[in-house]
Amino acid sequence: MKPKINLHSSVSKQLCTPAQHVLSRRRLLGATAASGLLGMDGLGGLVHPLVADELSQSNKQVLFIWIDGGMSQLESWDPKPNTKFGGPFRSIQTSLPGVRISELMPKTAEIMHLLALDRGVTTVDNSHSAGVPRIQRGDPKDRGVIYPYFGSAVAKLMGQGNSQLPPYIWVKPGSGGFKYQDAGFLGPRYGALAIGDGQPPPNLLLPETLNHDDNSSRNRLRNFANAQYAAGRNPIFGEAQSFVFDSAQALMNRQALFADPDPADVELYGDTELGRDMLIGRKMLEAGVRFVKVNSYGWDTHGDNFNGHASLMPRFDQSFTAIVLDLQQRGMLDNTLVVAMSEFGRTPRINGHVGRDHWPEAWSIVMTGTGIRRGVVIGETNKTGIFVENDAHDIGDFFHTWFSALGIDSSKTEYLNNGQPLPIAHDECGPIKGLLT
Amino acid sequence: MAVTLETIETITPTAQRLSARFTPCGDYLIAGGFEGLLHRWPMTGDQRTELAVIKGHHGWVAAIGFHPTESKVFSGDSWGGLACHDYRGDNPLTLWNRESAHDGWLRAIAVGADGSWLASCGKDYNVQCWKTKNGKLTQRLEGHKTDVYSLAVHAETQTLVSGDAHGEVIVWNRKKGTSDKRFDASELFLQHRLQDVGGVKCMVFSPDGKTLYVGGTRPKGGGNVQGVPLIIGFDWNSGIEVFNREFGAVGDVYVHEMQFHNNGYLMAVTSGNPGTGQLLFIDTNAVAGEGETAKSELPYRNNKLSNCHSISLHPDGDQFAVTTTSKGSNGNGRRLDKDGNYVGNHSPIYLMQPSVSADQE
Repeated sequence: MKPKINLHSSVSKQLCTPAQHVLSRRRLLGATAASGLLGMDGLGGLVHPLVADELSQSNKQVLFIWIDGGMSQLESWDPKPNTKFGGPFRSIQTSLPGVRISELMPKTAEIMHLLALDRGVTTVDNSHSAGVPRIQRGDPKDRGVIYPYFGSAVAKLMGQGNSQLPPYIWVKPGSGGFKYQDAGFLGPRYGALAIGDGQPPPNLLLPETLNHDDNSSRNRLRNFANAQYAAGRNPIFGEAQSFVFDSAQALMNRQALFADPDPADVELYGDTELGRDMLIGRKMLEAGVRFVKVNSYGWDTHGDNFNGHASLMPRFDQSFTAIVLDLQQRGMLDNTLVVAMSEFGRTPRINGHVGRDHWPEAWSIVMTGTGIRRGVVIGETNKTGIFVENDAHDIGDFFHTWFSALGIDSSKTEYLNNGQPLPIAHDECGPIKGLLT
Repeated sequence: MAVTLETIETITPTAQRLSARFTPCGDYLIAGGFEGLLHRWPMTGDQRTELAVIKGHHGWVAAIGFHPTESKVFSGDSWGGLACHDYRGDNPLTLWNRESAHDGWLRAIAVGADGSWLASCGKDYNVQCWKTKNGKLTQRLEGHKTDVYSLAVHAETQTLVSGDAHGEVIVWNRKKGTSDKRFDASELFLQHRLQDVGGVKCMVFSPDGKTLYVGGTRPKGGGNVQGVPLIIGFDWNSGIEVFNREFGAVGDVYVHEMQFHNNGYLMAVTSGNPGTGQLLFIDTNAVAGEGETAKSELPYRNNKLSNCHSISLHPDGDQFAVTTTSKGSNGNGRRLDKDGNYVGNHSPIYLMQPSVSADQE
């Protein structure tokens, strides 16, 4: 029988009074006591470990497409053609009756029936430095700790599954390496392994001069040294190191993940930087990586926004459509949560450099895959796209929604940080029912 | 020689405007807008009160041309529409309208010197020729491999030339429907990360027809596009590059439009980071080292104007109009006026007149 630790109301909530979200002393004590009973304490634990056990057996995965800098909602998901701030582009009909998106996304328009679009996103940060981390951390209530990015959270909550590969891989242009900062209070074990410019992490492959026996000898020596180092120290540090090393070893055995792509795939995804990275992302998902983040840079179009989007959007359009259809055709879409988003949208006002600036007031997020209702559009901006008129949602609502789609009950699951139970998503927000199956 | 300028008058539209142009008769100033409209101001009399708008377009109207002798304005929009209106009167007549002249953004229009034909170009990589009389498509010129941004017509030979987003300039043989020659202005283009940056923003022939000047930027980066305004001159007969000058700094970005003044100077306007803009009078005959801008080459530079997007010479050959964007046009996040309204920007249009004098030095 599973221990019953129901610290939160299970009622989905959009708007709640602050009093409902104060972590009471009783709840705090209850959580601490429960964790003590279960022998779970220390950095980055879970209050409910059996939930984690169950989730670790889940085959659900995440593809998180991060459009860095801020895609313009008006040139993509929420066009307002022929209006004062609408820009030069037309809107086009999609496969979803009555729903139109920008003409810059003709391929996406054909798969709109597979997607769930929320046009009512309202957040608070209008700078990159605040927006990128706060959005990717779900903008939780300030509890004196640094919350994990979504990828680290999923790595913690769901584990690496059966693949033994790193649970959180970040495919990006530029440099690669291990990005422990994403993990926040969960600790470095849950950081992101970044694959930069399509290349395997440095020194991943064994040098030709090192044979199997020599490598085994080295590993024995390493394990001995690790054990010496770990003796008398907090085990989480050694565990993190061992975990990352073991994951890297597993990756070393999957060299095909970094082989030259099939030309047919290149044609499908597009011979572009984003196409390349989406394709790597698909391979990683196929190999069983729990959470794959694919970054696209260059979207901070303060200047020449419209020529910029005319150039950027087709590359997104092709690679995004390709991976959604590819996942579907491989039977993976039903198990994979796919999210595409930025840190904010762009201003309706058009500046003198024919650009758009940062606009968190009204923008859009699109998603599909496991647990997500397909072929829906929720949230509505006003005629000129300035503000959300109906059904506004903050990033905290989306974190609840995505956790729910992955089978994680965010009303019952909590992190445990040195005895402090912490909600996994903003406790004044709740899952968006209209987006969930 | 030095040039001084006098601002005669300022027109202050309530919203942003594109490409303000004087009609060949000089009686009107016509500008495109962001909401599928053409805006008119009378240039005769003392009042510059805006007249009834010309409707019939969608999206942005940035491409404007005129019949040289008749009161016809040809305009193209960002949805691919091309239309002809009689610009006179209280309710201007639509003479013809081709709503799908191009598949997507129609970027530029050029009108033949005899007024019988016009050319348009745009997002569909095509250059197309039309009869001005009835809007009948007469020719489709294919050869560009990307969006075509700008057009020019040689005044004497009526040769059509087009420039694209990758910096390729094609000289067309309209009789054969083929490209005669190509000029390489790829310095005006950069593929930065995922984004194509730059392109041939504008072109103009020298008054003697011997040089073709193309304008744009020497791109440095995408996203928030940065670059140095750049003008390249090609010898019309040989295609050899004879002029290559940067004007300004990285944040000044694009040369948006050029036109020769009757005093012989090349007028150019630039627009870059919000608040930056230049109005330049360039002596293209002055000699400077490669890439340099000697003082003798630049008799006048005004960098106090904010984001200059177009320049149009009045048919008197002396006065001209510069379209700008209001200062303080940018800003992240919510900015509301005192009544709580979200406000857009507008485009002050400066009517100016130069005078040339011997350099004080």
